[in-house]
Amino acid sequence: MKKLFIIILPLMLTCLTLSAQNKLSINGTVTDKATGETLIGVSVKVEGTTLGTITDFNGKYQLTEIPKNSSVAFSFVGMKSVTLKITSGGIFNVSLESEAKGLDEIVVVGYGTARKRDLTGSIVSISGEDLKTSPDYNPVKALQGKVPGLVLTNNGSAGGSPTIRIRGVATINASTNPLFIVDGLFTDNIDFINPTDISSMEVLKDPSSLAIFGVQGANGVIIVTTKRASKGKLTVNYDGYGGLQVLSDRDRLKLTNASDFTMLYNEQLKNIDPTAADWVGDLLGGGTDWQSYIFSPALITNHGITISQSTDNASTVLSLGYFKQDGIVNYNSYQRFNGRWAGDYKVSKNIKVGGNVTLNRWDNDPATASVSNAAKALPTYSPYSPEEDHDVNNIGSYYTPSPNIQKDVANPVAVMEINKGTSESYGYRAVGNIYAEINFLKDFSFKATAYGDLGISMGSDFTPYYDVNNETSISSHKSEKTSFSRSTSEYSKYQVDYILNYNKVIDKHRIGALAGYTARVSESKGFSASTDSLISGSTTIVPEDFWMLSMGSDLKKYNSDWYSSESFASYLGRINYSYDNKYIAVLTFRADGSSKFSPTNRWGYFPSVGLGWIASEENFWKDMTNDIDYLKVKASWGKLGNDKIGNYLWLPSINPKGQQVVAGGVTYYLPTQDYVVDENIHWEVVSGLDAGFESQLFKNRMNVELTYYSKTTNDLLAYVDPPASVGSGYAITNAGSVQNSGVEFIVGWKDKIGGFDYGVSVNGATLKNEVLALGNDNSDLVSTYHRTSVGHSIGAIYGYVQEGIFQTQDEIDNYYPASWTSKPGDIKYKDLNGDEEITDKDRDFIGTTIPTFTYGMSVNVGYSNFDISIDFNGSAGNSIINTKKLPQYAQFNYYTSALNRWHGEGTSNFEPILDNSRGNNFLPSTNLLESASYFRVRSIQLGYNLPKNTLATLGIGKARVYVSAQNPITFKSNSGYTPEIGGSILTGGIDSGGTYPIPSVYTAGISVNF
Amino acid sequence: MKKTIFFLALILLVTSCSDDFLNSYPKARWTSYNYTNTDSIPIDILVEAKLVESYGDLRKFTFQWAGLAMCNYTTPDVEKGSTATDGGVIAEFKAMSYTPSNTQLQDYYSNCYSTIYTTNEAIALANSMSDTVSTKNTLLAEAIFIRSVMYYRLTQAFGGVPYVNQVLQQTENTPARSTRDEMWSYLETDLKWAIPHLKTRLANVASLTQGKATQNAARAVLAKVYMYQQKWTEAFTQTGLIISSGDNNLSTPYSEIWTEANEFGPESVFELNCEYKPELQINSDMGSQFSQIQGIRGVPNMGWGFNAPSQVLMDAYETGDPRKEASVVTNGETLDGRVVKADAASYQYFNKKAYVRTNERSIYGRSAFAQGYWMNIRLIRYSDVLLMHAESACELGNTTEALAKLEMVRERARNGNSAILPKVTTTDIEELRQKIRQERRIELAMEWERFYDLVRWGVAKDVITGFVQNKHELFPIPQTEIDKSNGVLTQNIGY
Repeated sequence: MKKLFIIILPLMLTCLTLSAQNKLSINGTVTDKATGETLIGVSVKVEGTTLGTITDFNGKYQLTEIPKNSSVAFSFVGMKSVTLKITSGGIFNVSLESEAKGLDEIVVVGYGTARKRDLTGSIVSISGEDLKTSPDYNPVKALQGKVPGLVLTNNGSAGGSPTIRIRGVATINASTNPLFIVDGLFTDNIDFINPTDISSMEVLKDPSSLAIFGVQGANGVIIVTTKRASKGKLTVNYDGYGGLQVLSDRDRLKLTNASDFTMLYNEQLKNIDPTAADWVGDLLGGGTDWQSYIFSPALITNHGITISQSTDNASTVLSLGYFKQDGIVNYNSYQRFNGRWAGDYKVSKNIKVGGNVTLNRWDNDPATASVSNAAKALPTYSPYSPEEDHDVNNIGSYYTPSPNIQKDVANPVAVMEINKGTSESYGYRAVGNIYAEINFLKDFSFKATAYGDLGISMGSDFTPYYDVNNETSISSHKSEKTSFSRSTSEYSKYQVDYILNYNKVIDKHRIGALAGYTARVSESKGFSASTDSLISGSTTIVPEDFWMLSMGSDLKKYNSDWYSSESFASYLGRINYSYDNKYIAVLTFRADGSSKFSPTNRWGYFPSVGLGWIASEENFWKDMTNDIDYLKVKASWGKLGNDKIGNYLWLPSINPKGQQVVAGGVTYYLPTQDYVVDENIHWEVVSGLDAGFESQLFKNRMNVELTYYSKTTNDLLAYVDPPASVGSGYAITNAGSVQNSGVEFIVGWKDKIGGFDYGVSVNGATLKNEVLALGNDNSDLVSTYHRTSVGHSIGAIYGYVQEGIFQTQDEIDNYYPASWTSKPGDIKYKDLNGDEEITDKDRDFIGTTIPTFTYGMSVNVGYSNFDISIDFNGSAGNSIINTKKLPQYAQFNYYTSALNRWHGEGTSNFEPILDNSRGNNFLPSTNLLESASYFRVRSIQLGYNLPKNTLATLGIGKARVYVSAQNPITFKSNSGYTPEIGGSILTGGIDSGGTYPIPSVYTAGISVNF
Repeated sequence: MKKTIFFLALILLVTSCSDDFLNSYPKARWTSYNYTNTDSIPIDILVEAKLVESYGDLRKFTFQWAGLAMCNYTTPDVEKGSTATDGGVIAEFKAMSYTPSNTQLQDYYSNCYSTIYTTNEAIALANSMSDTVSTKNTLLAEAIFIRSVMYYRLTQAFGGVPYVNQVLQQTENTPARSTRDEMWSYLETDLKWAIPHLKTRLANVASLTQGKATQNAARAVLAKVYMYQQKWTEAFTQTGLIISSGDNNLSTPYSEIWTEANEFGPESVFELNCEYKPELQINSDMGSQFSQIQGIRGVPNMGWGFNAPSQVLMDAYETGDPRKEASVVTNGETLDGRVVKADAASYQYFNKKAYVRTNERSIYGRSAFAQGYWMNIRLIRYSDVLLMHAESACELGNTTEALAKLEMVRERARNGNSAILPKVTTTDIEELRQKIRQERRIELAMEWERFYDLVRWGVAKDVITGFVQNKHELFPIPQTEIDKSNGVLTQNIGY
């Protein structure tokens, strides 16, 4: 509604001089031409006046005292507007037709809005309605599979935020997170928003749309616009759902049971030493399934009430929200309370003011159980110790110590129970803005906005005394201290935007110009304190009332505080021009100053240009008979920056007493610097190209969009790691460049057969990530499994290629010699370079951690009052390194795939013999590689809209009930819980078995409108 | 129009102060922006600081963890210990199956170089001192000594390596590997220069600077460098100088060497200072995990149980040799008045040379958590020097001197019991050679020499199962180092 308002506003203003003559009254009903249903909330405006209304719940409107011969416009989002010339009063029933999908739809762009038709870049807009199919506390999750080029890695924990990458990885050390802009405020996350408050989300991907964000824009931008009141009388909405999250059996780790583990472990002992005695655990058979102890089905629920009202001069929205999610890992829980108020006031003819504030309180209980611990712990012992071992002074005594072959892997149930309720974390956040907008000189408007974002978080953590050991055990799982720590932190951010706008339509020229200044400053600071021991003497149990710093001994108290700030100032400008709705040009410019760099490297300049041609508007096109109703060809180029590195990197800390030296009985203190520094670092510079077309075909039933993109990051901020013999002190510096390129597409079809409405939409994106140059003479960045090398993707996986398993000594003798001695059961590696030897030259790039193709699909079917929608998403081309298979610091439980190990001729051609002394089997190779490709049924939702007649009698405008399943099935092939493995840019994709699983979520919800 | 001007003015107003606005400096932190060091710290103190850092490096975990695996687990005398599958890639040393990708070798290699970097910084600083400063050469000699120890370790393990004797810029590439012979000759030059400028052990004890490099430590390393090259005369000379220096003797009984009371005693030629005294604010960063790695795995819970005596070693002791008792902890034995109970899944024997006694565990606010963090690491003992001397003498045909020094070691071991460890009297060179080698094996069991001795004597292939000649004499250069060097570094033969 806000969008409509913005378009209508200039119309209203330009025609204020008209005066009333003959007055007429009209009324009628507005219906949807396709369905015949009445339409609620259609705007009915007398052009050139301030007169107007909207249709009520029965689709009816009434206008009185309108001038004769005036034009009355009926407009509604997603429908073609209809204008009637009123020459006499009476009943005018109007039916509106769906418009060519979205062309005149208004999308939010940087510092303004634009008609979709006028865009030259790649922006995907998702409405608040679309988000409702995804019951989640973080609306960003709903974008998965809907926006080509947006790759999301889910986090299954309660209140966990996903990580997002848009169009690849364009940096190696700076952050890859996109910028979020909430109603104009720049922020890092949108955890504080109740999804039901969202009106739309726009994902900006191309350089020309992003260049207006300058140094913040390189990773893409997600603009979130919250709801404003729709015109009309008071409305009350309730949205709520509740449901259950479960870890489905097919997603669990397949680990060996006690008998299988014992059998395999004893086989391994004998492989190492044939004379080894058998190892015997406490349990055989199924043993302990640790996963079932730490996971359980968990609740998720969300409630939101929105009250909104809008009159001619004032509109307000008030909403309250509550969200609670328990983690599927026991004792993990997150809850959030939200309150939001938004208001817009027309103070005078040309001045509008308004504001918006969101208040938020959150509580987070982190999981006390360790997911990876449960994957490692042996199934051969029971979690709880026999009663005779219990000691009330030692809470550790209630649990069985871990077996001695894994004394450093604590009993997962003991860890979970002992730490239950010992840490607390909660906080408050307030985000708001106020603005004033003034229209002047007919075509100009000026808007000043001030934003504030304040947050406080509090945490405390208690470590009890415990010793999970009995007489014979040597488990290292114990705590001899009862330490307690408490911390508080606070951050604040203030931003101002001054935007001057000029809009003019002269004949066929549509001109828009914008100039602005924005500045932002943020600060974070905090305090923490801890005490070593809350108890003294022989007391071991500290009651919760005593978990206070004041309890500890004064001699063992520690405290610290911290402070950090950053500031930005920017100038920006944009010119939009379109001629005859055919030719479009967009130019933008931004100058950014950032406090993160030294004064001489502070300012950067980011221009962009976008061009478009709507071929279907040409006369020759209209003359042709074809099925293409709309075709736009577009191309854009722009320059962006990425400064998402830490503050003060050019200014390292000096510790004046960093080192103490005693010489000749005198103590000297020496200053030390915490890292070597390159004072000349500046932001990474991204320049990108985006070209493609958008079209609608077959009477607007089909839409096709295809885009090619390519962006190159230069001056990568990198830590250069030279060989050890050169030195180990290295600074972050600008060195290297990387390119991301690919193709994105959207194909959709929407039609109606009989009473069935249906729609299918498919989207996808390819990505080629390639390093073009690296600092230090293009030397590779090397780690155990990864190599970042010119000509390959960032953090590519590097190693040997497995050909099979040596079955016999004969086979080894007849194979190429290797630099190690193989025995039957060992991995046979491929001779990649054909030199008839197996050496380090036989390694190659064997995988990438960045998906090369991501895609999504959605299907919607509606019939009568029922609708069903199904979303899918998938990812392909990247790999995971399964390091859980490798020898570790202790003996872990095996994946059941270890049952397929080689244990004699012909038993396996993939899994080598169990023997952790055979180093040649643990080389980085395809043996450890697993495909990270997956295909997921993202969500299924079945909804029913209650018939209006029934509702009307109850005084209810609209009501909808639905059931939904999220992530019910994921088709994947890796051993871990999820194929969505995060990790750092240079060394990602490593799965050691401890990733928090992504639950399947089943919910039922209701949405009511009074 | 007035309004427009007003708004434009507002914009200008805001922007005019934006350069100030962009100045953001940290709080509670000194940086190059707000800190100028007004105390003029003498350069010798700056050098001293680098030396403190370098000595600290010697305590690093990897030098004990990987170091013991390299020199001991590879031989039949020592079991990896702990439980069979514990220790991850450390097991590869027992099986002689390590590859260039072994992460422990990577750590060992790069840690040597990070200390070399620090010592080069110290040397550069020391060189900028005025020649008139009396301590200049001592500081320089200490830095050169520590650097030499690191190059000695590298050369011993990996053969010739890049020899870097200045501070390189991070954008420079590594020099190519020198040959092993070149490395030895660099070390000879460096150590020969350092020796006269270093202090003696007794001088360090007198000035309470125990732990600093001594003349005899440098001589001992130099002697080892010579012995690798079979330069027996030169080795003999250096060990002779140590013996005649009077700085060391064998007065400490064998079983008492590894105690806190005898730290930096007359046995000590090269010893790393480790401390852990929480009550005196000396925390675990001054300690080492040397004892914890090898400590009893069971009750008392002293550590992880690695680097343990094998049956082969225990069988190799002469009947009644008290050094066996002083070196081996057996499951079930009574130690410090308490019965040792090894963990059932673990190896049943432990290295007593890493055992810390009960009376050391409860003083200075120490708790059971710190498993022997305070135990000094004895890298070169006086008996090692005597046996090097005997070996050199034997190779030179000087059986009298060889027998005399061998007897000194055996006499101490005998501890007054004339019924055991009979004096060796043979003058047959080959027989005497074997006797000296056997003595070295027993005297220095589970310490820092065995694998390298076997390689040096050329007998490793006969003693070590799985030893491949012309390959396993050296460990592989870590793969990532070769990969990072842009082809400058080459791999050792056979890997």
